Amino acid sequence: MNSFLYQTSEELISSICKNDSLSYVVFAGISMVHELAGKFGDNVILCSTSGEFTPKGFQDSAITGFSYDPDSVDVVELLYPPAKGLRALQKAYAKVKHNPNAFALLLCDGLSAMEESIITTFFFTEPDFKIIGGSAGDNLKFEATAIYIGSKKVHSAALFFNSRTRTQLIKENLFEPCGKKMLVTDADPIKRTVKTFNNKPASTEYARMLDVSESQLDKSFMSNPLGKSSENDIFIASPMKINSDKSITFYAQIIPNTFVDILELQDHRSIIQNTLNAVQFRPNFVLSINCILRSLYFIENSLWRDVDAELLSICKNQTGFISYGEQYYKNHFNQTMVLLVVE
Amino acid sequence: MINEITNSQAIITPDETGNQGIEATEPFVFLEEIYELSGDVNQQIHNLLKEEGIVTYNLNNLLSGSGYTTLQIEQIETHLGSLSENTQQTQDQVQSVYKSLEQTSQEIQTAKLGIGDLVQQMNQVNEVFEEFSVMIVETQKQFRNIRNFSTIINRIASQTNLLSLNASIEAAHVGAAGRGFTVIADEIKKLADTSKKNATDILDALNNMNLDMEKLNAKSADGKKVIHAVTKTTDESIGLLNNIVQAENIVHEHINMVQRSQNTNIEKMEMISNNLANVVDRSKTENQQFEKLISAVQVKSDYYLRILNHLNQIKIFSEQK
Repeated sequence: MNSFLYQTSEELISSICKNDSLSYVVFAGISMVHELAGKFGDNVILCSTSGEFTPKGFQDSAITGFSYDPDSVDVVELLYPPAKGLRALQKAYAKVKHNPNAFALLLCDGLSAMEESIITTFFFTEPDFKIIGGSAGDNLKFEATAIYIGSKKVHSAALFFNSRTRTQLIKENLFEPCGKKMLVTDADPIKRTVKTFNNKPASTEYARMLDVSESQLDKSFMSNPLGKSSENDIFIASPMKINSDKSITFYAQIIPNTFVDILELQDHRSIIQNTLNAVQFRPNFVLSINCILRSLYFIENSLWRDVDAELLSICKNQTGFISYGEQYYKNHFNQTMVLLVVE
Repeated sequence: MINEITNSQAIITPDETGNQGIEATEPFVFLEEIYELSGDVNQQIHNLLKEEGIVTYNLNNLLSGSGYTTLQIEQIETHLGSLSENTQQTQDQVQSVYKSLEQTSQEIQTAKLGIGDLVQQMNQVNEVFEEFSVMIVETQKQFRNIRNFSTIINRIASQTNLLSLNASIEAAHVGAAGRGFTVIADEIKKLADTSKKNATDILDALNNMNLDMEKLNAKSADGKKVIHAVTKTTDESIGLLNNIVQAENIVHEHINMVQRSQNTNIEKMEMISNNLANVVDRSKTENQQFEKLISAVQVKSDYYLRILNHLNQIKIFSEQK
């Protein structure tokens, strides 16, 4: 797996034409993806983003991605609903299920709120089967994302890699519980909306817990998202908006009658160090998927250069994109970075 | 719901009553996928029921545990009641100890004064004996004087004897010399004068001794009075000290009562401590059970998530149909 970085569509097209025996996954902004659509065969997968992570670090409006050997990868189109691809998924999984280094890369539509349905469609896989994914973006326009397999626009895609070398998935979370919990007393998980916390209107109670006025609550969303506990891990659900009935819509599903933690930002330097220390071997290739909210925080605080330096220090052969959500094993969440590390 | 979905969609055809009948169309393509989703829904519901079982079991444990905790707390209440009563008792006893210590303090003050008098009197005794000593020294001096005088008189007597002898010898030589007798007579006269003076001195000394003896006698009477007073004061002091000892005994008795009361308090405190330890242990167990309950709640949410999303997909299928 080899990463690449181009600034123009011509450079990419030229490079792919020269090496058409390989397959490619390309990450680029929504406009660029539309420009590139239809120009490639089935060996190229396009995914629109809200920014790119390249071999030179974070860039906006670059063209990046990686090439791979198609013989060891099965590409499965995910339809709407994703269960339509169940047979194909099961068939692709059957080929790799005995390989502990195998993994599935998900590229999901970032605006149809189907990530949980996609991830739960993998119900037949073993709990330790590696699944890493990101939700496509559209450069903060929130109109439509785009994923192409060749010249065909698809809802989402799953790539099953039968990796011959060691692989590892790592999740990095910059937030920790601040000690305050809320009970989700009424919610519509499919609509990703919470109506009440602790039997009180969601926005009222959330604001009270943060000790801010309801009118200022949305300003605290990025710094104090909610965390769902599962098996000693925290998965972030970022609030999207406050509705007129005081319910709050999130970027991930929240189940009623569960507890959520209010999270607060920690020191990113030590956390990134811990992430890099968790890498179990010398990587030959790294794929990173960073949430848009994380990227916006890094941009606002001029931190991307530091983060670039840290991430690129372990391996120069890197690529990735800025997403509207992240998938890790059988979980979908926000404001996180997920890493695929390949030996 | 899934069991009611058939392999073909019916189209309604007219019958004798004019109702619309049913005729088959092409089969729904994704039926197998729906069956698989529903199979997983079924599995997740079984998982949920298992977690519900854990929740119910732990809730039941918590319920029976709460009875135990209530009992422990009731026992603590009882012990605290006894402790409160006993503490009041202890307080009263401490008050008694305080009063008896006050009494002891007064007795000690009185004894101090008495012993002060005794010391003064002992000083007087000391003075008397010092005067005794001085007088005895004087008496000794007089005695020495008398002795000296006696010595002189002895010497004189010896000399007088010699002179007599000489006179006898001279007498034998009479006529030749009346001078010898004159010398001897002069010498004897001198000796007689000296003797007379010495005898006077001796008498004076004896008089002085007599006076000194009288003084000694008077002093001795004084001394007797002082010693009598000392004896009386000493007896009184012994009485005062006995009072102190008695007062101390009362204090000791009160302190023993306080100690017994405190021992009872300590026993009660230990019982309360045991009850509290039981409550704490029980609370830790209950906390663990609560944590299991919370954990079960969170685990259940994963099953619910799968079920809801499967059902959502089935709903989308039916909407697309």
